[in-house]
Formats: sequence, structure tokens, C-alpha cells
Amino acid sequence: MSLNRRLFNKSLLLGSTLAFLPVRYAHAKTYLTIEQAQQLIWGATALTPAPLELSPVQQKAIEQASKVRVRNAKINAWKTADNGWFIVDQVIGKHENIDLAVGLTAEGKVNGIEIITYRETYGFEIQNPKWRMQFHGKNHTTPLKLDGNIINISGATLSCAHVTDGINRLTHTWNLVLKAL
Amino acid sequence: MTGKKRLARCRPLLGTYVDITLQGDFTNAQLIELSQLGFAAIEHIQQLMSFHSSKSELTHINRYAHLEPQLISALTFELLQQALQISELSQGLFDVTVGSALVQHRALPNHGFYEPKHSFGMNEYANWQAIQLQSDAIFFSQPLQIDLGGIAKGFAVDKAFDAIQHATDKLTSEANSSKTDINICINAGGDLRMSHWQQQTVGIRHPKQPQQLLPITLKNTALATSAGYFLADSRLTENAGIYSPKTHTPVRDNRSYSVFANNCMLADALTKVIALMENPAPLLTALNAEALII
Repeated sequence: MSLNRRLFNKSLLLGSTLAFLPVRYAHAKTYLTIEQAQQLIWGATALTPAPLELSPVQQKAIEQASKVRVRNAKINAWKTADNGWFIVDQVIGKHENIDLAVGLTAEGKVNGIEIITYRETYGFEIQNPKWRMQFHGKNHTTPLKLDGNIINISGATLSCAHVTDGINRLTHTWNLVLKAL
Repeated sequence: MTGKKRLARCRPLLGTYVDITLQGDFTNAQLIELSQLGFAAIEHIQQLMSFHSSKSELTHINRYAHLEPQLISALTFELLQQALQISELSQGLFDVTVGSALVQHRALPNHGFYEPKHSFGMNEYANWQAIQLQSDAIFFSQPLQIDLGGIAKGFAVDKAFDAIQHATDKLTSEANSSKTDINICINAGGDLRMSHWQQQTVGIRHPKQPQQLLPITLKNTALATSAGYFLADSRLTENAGIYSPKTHTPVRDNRSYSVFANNCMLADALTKVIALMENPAPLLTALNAEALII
């Protein structure tokens, strides 16, 4: 077997392993329901569901304008009577996976951003038995329940750059698609 | 009686995720109103003090304050006054003028008016002593770049906390009721402050496995942590959680520095001091703070 062939097989194996590993969340926190986020951004203004799907051409145009990848063609959108928008979007960062709600005015200006759910993603590290071992045998009297006991975390600052990118993608989506609807 | 209601919100601010959680004997509308005041206080500080924004008051100061004194807002004045006090107490180990070196290391953006130096020599940079505060103005005795990244997040948390506390007191006095208690928790990307902190457990990230949380009982109302483990994916090249204002180099020791204090601004600033100071115990004691290095 040639060296090239072996390398090819190795990368194929690695690729397929990753594809089948379920993503687990080391920490997750739900902040708001969609209804609460709607109320925070639009108050008593009535919202009508207006879901849509971007065409491949639209996706490409948004990617070029925003320089952010469009992962999902489906847009979970609601509309006000005055052409305002409420969109529930998902952003995937290196460490985090976030559902967020964004309000856009009839002029395409962001009038509210609320994180709905925050999840920390550690796809395959958590599968590693060595890593999992560290959860056990810690000499703490309180058991470590990631989503129960500990709801506040202190640590190095995690950048929200991916959310900023996601909002940038949505304002370009408004400009290229929603504005004309 | 409305019963204890809880509201938890999280918004992207100060370059990170800011979480405000409120609980108390208030209506949902009141909790929303209180949380809005907290976020507004943080947004206001972000607008004034962002290094990244070309339109912030801080960027204006960095551009012009070495030419002639510049009028500044009361908030920026207050924070700079506190920052200079910490610089003095720490013999310059905390220094907001580290901005120049951070631009040089490309850990902060260059807005075009700052000339990068040719080398990282120790004597080429101004330090905190070049900052002069006079009543409502600021002047730099030599060109320099202030970065408030090591203190403004904590300060913003404190201001949001005070705004919510103050508005709560007003609400209860207007309602003519006995003072109603509100449980406030604000967490700006790891810089956190809690009103009812006694016996509360928080998780501190393990610096080598940040997804692993070490449970710690709070020792004061505020806790801040500095470390470098989330910076590898940042867009700006040279990164570390902490820079030494003495050597103008990043600290790369894979450790996590946490400080408990009676306000979040102080906790935030002291995380950098304990990373650099050989024996920080006397300073911590003098400031009624405690440290945890992992």
C-alpha cells in the first residue's frame, strides 16, 4: 500500500469517527422562551409567523456580503404589521452553540438581541475516557452537577465574536432578501 | 403578594456574553424593567470605553489627549481614577497604558493614529504615571494608548448592579412597602457579582480543561478570573489573558487567576496583579480581597 493510500485511509477513518460522535454539552443554560424574547424585543406589537427558505443564490449572496457562512437556509421569522422582523437563529462557535433572537426594524436596524439558549459544546473530548476520568475522584463533598448546582461560571472571557458574525449575517439577509418581502 | 419571580437574560455585550439574573417579589414587568436598566448601564460603558470602537470616548482620548487636555465623562474619569490608584498600590503591575503594547502585539486593533514601535524595548512605552487627571479632563504627558480591557468589564458589572439595586429601592419606597429584597446576579464573561453570595457555589473553569468546572464557595460579592485559554481562536494574532506592563510581554503560564473582592472592578483588576506580583498577599489583605490560582 502506498504512503498516499495509507494517509487517505487514515483521514477517512478520522472523518467518519467524528461524524458519528454525538455532540454533548458540558454546560447549558436556557434563558428565555421564544414568547418571552418576542415580548422583550417587540413588547405588545403583534407578530405573525413568516418562515422562509433561502434559495442557493440568496445564500451565496448573503455569504459574499457578510463574509459569514450560511449554515441553514431555513429562517425562523415572524413579522410585525409594520414590516419589522423577529428572527430566531442559531450560531455555532468553537466552544458554544447558541440560539438567539434578533429584532430588525422596517429599516433593517437591529432593535434587540436576546440569547435564548447557551450551550457549551465539547464534541469528542468528552468521549475520551481519560478526560472523563477527571470528573470522577475529585475530592469535593458536593457532587458536581453541571446544570444543577452550578449555574454561574467564572473563567477566562469567552468571545462573543460568533454571535456578532451571526447578527451581521442577519442584517445582510434583511438587506438582500427580507427588505423586499 | 406576587410571589418570587425569576428573570434570566443574556446578551452579547463587552465582547462577551453578559448574563443578568434577577429574583424577587416583583412583577414580570418590573423584573424586565430592572434588567433593562442593568443592560443599559453596561451598554453605556461599552460605548464610552471600547478600545475596538473607533467612535468611543476612549479612542478619542487615545488619539488626542497627548496633544492637549480632553474633557471626559464622569464615568470614564471615575474608572481611570480607580485604575491609577491600583497602579500605584501595585507598583505599576496594573497599568491601563498597556494598550500600546497590545496594539504592537496585535492583540488590539490599530485605528491608524498609533505608530507601532520597531521593537518591544522596555523603555519605549509610557506608563500610568504619564496620565494626568484634572477635575473633568485628562492629559497624557507623552503619547500612549489606554486599554481598559483589564478593568472595565468589572466596572460595568458594578454599575449595572448599582443601577438595579437603586431602582429596586425606589420601586419599594414608591410602593410604600417595607424594603423588598431582590436577588441580583450579573456575570459578564466570568466577571461576576452576586447580591446574595453567602454559601453560593460557582464553577471556576480548569485552565487546562476549561469545560471542567471546579466548584468554589463564594468568599465575597464579586469574583473575577483571568486566563488565556479561550484566546487561541481570536482573530487578532498575539494573545494571552494577561500582559506584563513591566516587560511588555504576554504571560503564558496556563494558569487561571481568580480574585474575590467587595466590588467587581477591583476583582477584575487584581487578577492581573496576582499573576505578576511575587508576593501579592499584603496587597490583597490591604484591599480585603482573596485570590485563587489554579
